[in-house]
Amino acid sequence: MAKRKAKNYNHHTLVPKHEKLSEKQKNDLLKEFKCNLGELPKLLATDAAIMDMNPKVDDVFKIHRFSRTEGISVFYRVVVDE
Amino acid sequence: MESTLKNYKDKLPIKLLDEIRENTPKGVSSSRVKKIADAVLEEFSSSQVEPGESVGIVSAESLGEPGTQMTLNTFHFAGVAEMNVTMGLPRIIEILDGRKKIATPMMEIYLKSPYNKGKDIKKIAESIKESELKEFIIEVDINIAEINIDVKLNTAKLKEAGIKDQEIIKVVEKLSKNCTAKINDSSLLIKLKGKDQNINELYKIKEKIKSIYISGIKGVSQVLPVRREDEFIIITAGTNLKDILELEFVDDKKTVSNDIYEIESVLGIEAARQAMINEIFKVIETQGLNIDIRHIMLVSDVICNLGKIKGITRYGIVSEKPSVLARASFETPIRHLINASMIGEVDELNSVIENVMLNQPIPVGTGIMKLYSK
Repeated sequence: MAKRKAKNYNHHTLVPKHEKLSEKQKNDLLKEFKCNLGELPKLLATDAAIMDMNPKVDDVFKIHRFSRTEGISVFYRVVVDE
Repeated sequence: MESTLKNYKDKLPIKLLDEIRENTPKGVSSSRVKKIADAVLEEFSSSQVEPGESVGIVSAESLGEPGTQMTLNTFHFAGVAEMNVTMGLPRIIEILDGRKKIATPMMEIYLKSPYNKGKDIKKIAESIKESELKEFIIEVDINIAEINIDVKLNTAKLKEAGIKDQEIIKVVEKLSKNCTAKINDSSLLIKLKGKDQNINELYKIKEKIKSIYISGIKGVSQVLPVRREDEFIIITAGTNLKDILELEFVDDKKTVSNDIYEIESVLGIEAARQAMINEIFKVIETQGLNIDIRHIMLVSDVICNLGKIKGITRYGIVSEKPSVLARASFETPIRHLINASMIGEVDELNSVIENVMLNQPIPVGTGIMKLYSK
């Protein structure tokens, strides 16, 4: 059985698009939601979906989820380690 | 129309915008499109959940009440006797508790274009199945006089599975440091090396020889090719998503497992959340129940909130609650209270359950408002 080389499955139908926010976008987001980083949902730095995006602690990812009710819904997660 | 709807891009969800596009007749003036969109926007914002609404309790009741009507706990596949799938209430409990070991792990393997047409589907399915050497053995003989083992192999079956003699010799010789294997036609001869020839050693090898892993994907114990719509897929009992996705003929866009933890480790937490929603919804659908998917989405969001799966158990999300009284009100209250008193924990009384216990207004609905002075 021949094996594939690439081990990136970000094109899988279950995996939504993850997008890293810039520092400015991050601050705008926190201002808009009137919250601090610790209050956002978490995303582990070792998560399989962001492995090749070089995630650092406190990075914020914008996630374009596929939703049955909305079409596409936007969600944010902050990177934490463990 | 497009230019008018552009202004509503951030205010309305994509699906509603599409619906407006579909249902508005062509050639309608932009001012009327604006009127329509405004009416939709008003309706949309009035139907949104209001601040302070106790969505958690509503979800719990909406999932709990139909749950009492669930029947049929397993589902059988025609053709394979041992293959049944946990469905119904046990499956829902399993997912929401975030169990690491699920009762019936299975995969749905989609294949890439030339392979999914049904040609050789049986052969492909068999090649995935984990097989041990005992499936290819007809007879095992121990010759005590000459101190060797004679294993009769089913050559026809070996040929079908595409296993070469060399592979068998390699795995057999790995069993013990001082044994050699040889294949003549259909018999495998195992001898001990050197002068130290011990019958006990031989018996040990004989026991081990049956359960040697020889081909396929580890963990896949049953395979079943099934026709779904106009393509063939393979349903398996037992999962190993990581190794399956590495195979070249597997469609790595659609192949899924029903083990949420496995999906989390291979595809990430967001994929696990989506898989969890799909799995719960599948159970509810097959039971003929009607639960709004938003309740399931809310529960899945809570479980996946911390970046890893935290089931709704006293070891999962309940243990993450900051309030002592809230934790104590779920399960094992005495342990929580003793531990909290030993380290001097403070309860801020910010949430619902602790205020119910103390007979105070709860922060829900109009109770969420507080007076602030500048």
